[in-house]
Amino acid sequence: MMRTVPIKVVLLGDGRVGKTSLVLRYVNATFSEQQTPTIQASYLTKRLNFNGAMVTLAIWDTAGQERFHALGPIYYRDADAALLVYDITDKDSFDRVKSWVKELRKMAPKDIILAIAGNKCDMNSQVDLKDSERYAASIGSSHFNTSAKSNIGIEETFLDIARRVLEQKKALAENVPASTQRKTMVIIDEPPPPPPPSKCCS
Amino acid sequence: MGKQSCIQLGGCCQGKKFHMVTIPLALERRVFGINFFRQDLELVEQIDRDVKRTHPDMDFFSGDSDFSHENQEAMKRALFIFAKLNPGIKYVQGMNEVLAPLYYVFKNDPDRENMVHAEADAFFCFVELLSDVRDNFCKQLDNSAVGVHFTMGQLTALLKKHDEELWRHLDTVSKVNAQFYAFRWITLLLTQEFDFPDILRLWDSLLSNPDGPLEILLRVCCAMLICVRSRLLAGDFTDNLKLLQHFPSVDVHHILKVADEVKDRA
Repeated sequence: MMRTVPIKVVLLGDGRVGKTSLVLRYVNATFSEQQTPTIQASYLTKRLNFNGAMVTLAIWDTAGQERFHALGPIYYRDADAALLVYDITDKDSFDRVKSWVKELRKMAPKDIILAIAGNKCDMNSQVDLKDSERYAASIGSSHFNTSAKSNIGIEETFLDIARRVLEQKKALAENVPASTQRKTMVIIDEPPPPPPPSKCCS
Repeated sequence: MGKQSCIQLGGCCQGKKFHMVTIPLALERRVFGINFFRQDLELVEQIDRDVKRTHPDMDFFSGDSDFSHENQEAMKRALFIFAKLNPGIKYVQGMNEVLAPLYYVFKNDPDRENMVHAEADAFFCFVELLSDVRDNFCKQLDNSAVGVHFTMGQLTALLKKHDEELWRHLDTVSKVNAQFYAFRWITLLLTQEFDFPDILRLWDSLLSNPDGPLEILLRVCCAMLICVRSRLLAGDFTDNLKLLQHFPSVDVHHILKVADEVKDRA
């Protein structure tokens, strides 16, 4: 019997950006406008045949609201990949992606594969696509525009994750540096925030 | 309250529709300063989006009729006022689920005189109920002796005491951490695990318990695990987690009976 490679993927991102819808579209091929907010992390699996290799994606769809963030590490500390989701109609949710990346750098495995999904791409974007792609490249992540509603880009996103995790595992098994992309990864640290305007406040 | 002294906060996410929350303007300005408007607007929008997704299968909560809208507005007001009165917790996703059974029951009171006060009654009971369980919603208390991790630990201990074989299988063999399934059971008082009529039946027991809802809630959670024990014992991590995250339809009367037995053997 062929061996199945397990790949653990964790979805992170602000509340209401569509993480659950993205996964349900991918795993169950369903979509609901009235998706109930996620309170704890949901666990879903999907088996795929990737160029002859059997892969089981174990997907953790986490809760987005800030209150639940303290529960995060249990889901991503041994993850193979993280899919960071933002809502292209909400610029703040893209900034949250950046803070998730910082947290992953501290808490997650060093070689975790990153992918970024700009969700709701069936709507008008408030985020500059070039900016987000540049940012993704700067952290060694791929970037996809997705829409759970119109079923755009989702298959590609997860396939990309599976491909890169498999490549990394293979490279690791052959004991060579994982991937050149990650070897030459550049971490762009953001400039310090400007000093607060001097004013009297409590 | 005069018109001049009030502001009505409107969420813009529905386009043409405004969601009214009336705040005494002068008071708010004095207490919260100028930033309050933006914060409150965000809060109103957040509550609005979640309330509309309460029990999407039930017309009472999520329909498009005037009646559904009236119910949504009442729930939004209750959650907003709670958030303002509890700035340490504010609004946490899922609170709408906890408010829903209360409001539903009061709103369906056959006595019209009672029914017209459904919103106020539901709000009062919601505050009372949350005073027992709100620590579970508070991130700062997560790792304290009243936080949700401690409560989940109590559940695990209870299971160990009453069904050590099942506890060992979950803990050691299939490694299904209670946080993966019981977090939602506990914070939302089982409102996302059962059909609405079953929730009402369970809550009758939860709310009538002289020792408070948490004590019986833990016994019910323990009973839920025991009710599916043979499937759990046969399952691995994935099977068990999926089973517990999508709890199968089990007769709630049976669950309550097992929960009673858990008490007797305590």
